[in-house]
Parts: sequence; structure tokens; C-alpha cells
Amino acid sequence: MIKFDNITKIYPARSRDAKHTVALDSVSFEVGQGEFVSIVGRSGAGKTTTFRLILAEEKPTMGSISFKDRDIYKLKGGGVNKLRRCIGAVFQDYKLLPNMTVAENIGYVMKVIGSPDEEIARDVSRILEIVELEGKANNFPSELSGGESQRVAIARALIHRPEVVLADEPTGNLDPYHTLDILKLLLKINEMGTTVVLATHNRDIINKLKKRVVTLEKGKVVRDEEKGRFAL
Amino acid sequence: MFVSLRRVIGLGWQNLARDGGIAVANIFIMMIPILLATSLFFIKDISAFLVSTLREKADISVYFNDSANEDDILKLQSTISQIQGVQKVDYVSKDNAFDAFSNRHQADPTLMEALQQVNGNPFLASLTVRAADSDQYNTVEKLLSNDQYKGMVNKVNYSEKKDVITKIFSLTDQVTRIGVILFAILGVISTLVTFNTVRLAIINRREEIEVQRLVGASAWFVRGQFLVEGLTFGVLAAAFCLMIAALVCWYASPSLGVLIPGVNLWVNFMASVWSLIGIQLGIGAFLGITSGLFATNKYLKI
Repeated sequence: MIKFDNITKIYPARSRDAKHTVALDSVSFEVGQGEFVSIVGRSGAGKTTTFRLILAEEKPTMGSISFKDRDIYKLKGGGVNKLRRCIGAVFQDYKLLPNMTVAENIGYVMKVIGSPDEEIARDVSRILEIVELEGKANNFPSELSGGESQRVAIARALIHRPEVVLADEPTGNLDPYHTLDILKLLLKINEMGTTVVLATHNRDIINKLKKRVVTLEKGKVVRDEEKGRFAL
Repeated sequence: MFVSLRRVIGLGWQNLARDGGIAVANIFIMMIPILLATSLFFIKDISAFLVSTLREKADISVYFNDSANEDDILKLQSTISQIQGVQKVDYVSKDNAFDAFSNRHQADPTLMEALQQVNGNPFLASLTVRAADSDQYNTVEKLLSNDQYKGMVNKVNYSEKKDVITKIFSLTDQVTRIGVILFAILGVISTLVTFNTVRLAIINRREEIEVQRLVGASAWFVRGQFLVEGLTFGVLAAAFCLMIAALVCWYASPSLGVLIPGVNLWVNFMASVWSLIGIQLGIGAFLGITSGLFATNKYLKI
């Protein structure tokens, strides 16, 4: 489904005295349909860069990334928007729209793709049940706890039935209790057939999941194991 | 497509309604250049009135000898009227001059007695010439110094007034020029302030723009919301400015009429209300839409 082929990403230096940063160095791996893959590494290993490249927020310096056998960087403007609508993204800082309610945040993607209002209302209601936030539909993000905010972010990522969910450190700002909740949710999503790619540097999460682990260190893939463990 | 348009408009208004403080600030900022343009609209009319009133006072009078034939005077009147730039040539006969003086001073017994003692009509027939430019007065003076008119003309009072007339025209030209430059500068400054303020408000929401793009919204879906907001700010600012203009004109009209007789601000406002609405809405819409466009373009490169 997602294929990284010899990807290198270099950020140029911004001042004369600084050196350029090699975020990813000749990275190659594939994520199959329906897989649950964790990308592990310390801060600065290249996890977030990996996600930014998949979402076409950045361009690689070398190499190619394909999504369902189509090169992401050969897509024109409208093609990039369609790619992003096939992906559900969850971020460490939730990235909820502050002037919209929980229901409006979740339904926003469906508004963008032109779904009818009745379908949006029905699906928002359904997804709020899945993430157990039925009573919070009319609240604003500022009125939610961290765990609730992240569940709203996950709900937004799921509502349009994406083929892939990218979760970049989704539990980074949460306590252990909420972390477990989020993990269970991601596993449930994966059981329903959605491909999940999770980026984390949390040892406990990885060891609990017992799923495929791709380990990044200084921008390189150092390990790629089925039922891997955290080993940095 | 209509569904998307409806949603863009709905989202734009929703954002505006939910961020009331910023909306109010943006509307107030947009009111500045609109109020400036509205002031210019009225000041232009008032200053044009003042300039023409002042220029009307700059005239020259030609007095004719008693021996001058009325037909010759009337022919001269016609000749002077045909000079380019001459606006008006009024003829006052000896008898009309006498009657005008008597009517003006009939309540003054001293003057009336003096007039009776003079025995006869001491006044001279005259032509009063008004021109658009001080150069035309020179032309008229040159014409009158021709030999054919020397026998008729008793006195031309242009040379006494020449300096004053030249100064009046020069001063009014400068006032008009300075006024235009001043308003242009203030207009540019206030427009830049408006652009910057709206831009800063949008910079504040760059993360929101980024999130919308990351979930797959097209650039125009995102940009459209900000354009709707900007346009709404502009229209509301124009509406408030119209209300302020109406209030000021209604309130200040009597006082201004006393200060500058002949000027009726309220009548002027009512006569040109549709033009004013067009100007205010045009400026408001332009500011709202262009500031939204400039600001969002910077953050829509994801």
C-alpha cells in the first residue's frame, strides 16, 4: 500500500555556521494493506519526517514514495488533496480546529469531500459512539481533556473510512490510562481492516502491541521485525 | 459545486461569528480608510464650493463715460463674453446703478440727502466681468486698452485688484493640490494598516489553515472561507460608515450652513447617497477580499 523506495530527505542549513540535516538516509520499506506497523525511534530519528513525506507536506531529496502504486510526487494539486482524503492523520498535538465543535471537527473531512448533510450527521453520530464521546458533540476543543481531544482527532481520522491511518505520537501528551485507551482504539480500527502506521518512542506501547516494528536511528532503518520489540 | 460553495460561505460566516473579538477589530480597522474616503467625498464638494465662491469675488469692473452709447457698451459686452474662459459679463446701466444704490441705502438718511444734493445721476454704466482663470482678466484688460474703446472707457479697476486676484487663484489651486496629496497619503497609510491588521489576524490562524489542508481541503475551499469573512467585514464596515456619515451630516448641517452660507451638508448627503454607498461598499469589499487573498496565499503552499 505504501512503499518507500530509497528515500533520502535533507533539510538545508539555514545559517552559514549550521550544517544541513539528514532526516532520512536511503530508507526503504513497505506497508501492506491491513497491516499494523509501528515506526520507532528516538526524537530526531526521522519518524515525523516519514509521515510528512507520506502526506506530501514535504518532498524527498532523493527516492520515491508510492501510495497504491502511484508516485505521490507526480500527483498534481487536486491529486494531493485526494491522497490526503484517503489517509486519516492523527497528530501528537491533536490539531483540532478551535472554532468548531467536536461534531463539526469530526464532520469537516466529509464536508470537504462533498458528502450530504444527512450522511455527515449519521456518520458523526456513529463515530462518536465508537470513540465513546457521544455526550461531547457540541463541546469545543478547549473544553476537552487531552484524552478526549485525541479521541476526537482519531474520530476525525476515521470518519471518511480511510484506507490508512497515520498516527504520529498520538499518546505523547497523554497519561498511561488514556494511552491504553488510544492504543485499544487503534487496534480495533486495524481489526476492522484499516492499515495503521503508528510512530512512537514509547517502549511500553511497542512491547504491548507485539506487531511489526520498523526501527529508525539517525534517519536509517536499522531493524524491521514482525512482532518486534523496542530495542534502541 | 453548489454544495461546496454553500459550505464555504457557511464556514466563513461561522468562523466570523465564533471569533467575535477579532471580527470587531477587523471591522473597526476597515472603517478607517472608508471613513477617510467618505470625508474626501464631502470635503471635495465643500472645497469646490468655497473655491468657486472665492473666485466669484475676483472680478473686474469696467466703468464707461456718460458719453458712451449703450449699443456700443452692449456690443463690447458680447465681445468680452466670447473670450475663452470668461464665465459672465453683467451690464449695469447708469439708471440701474442709481436705483441699486438708492435701494441699498434707503434707510440711511445722510446718504440719501447727499445723493439728492448731487443733482443728477453720479453713477456710471459698467460691465462686471468674471473669468475662470486670472489669465483671462489680462486678456480682457488688453482688449479694453484698444484704441476703439479708449473713448468709451472711464476706468478699469483690474490693476488695483490684480495682485489679489492672482493670489486668490494661486492659493485655491494650492489648497486643492495639497488636499489631494494629503488624502492620497493618508489613504495609502490607512489601507496598508488595514491590510496588515487583517493579515495578522490570518497569520494567527495559520495552523488552522494547515490542518484544513492536511485533511484534504483544496486551496480554494480554505481560501474561500477567508474571502467570505473578509468580504463580510468590508460590507459591515461600509454599513457602519454610512450610518456615521448620515449622523454627522444631519447633525453638522445647520452649523456648517451658518459658517459657510450656501452649503447644506444633509441635502448634499441625500442627493449623493447611492454614489456614497457604492464607494463605501466598493472600498470595503476590495479591502476585505484582497487582504484575505494576500494573507492566505502565504499559508496555502502546503
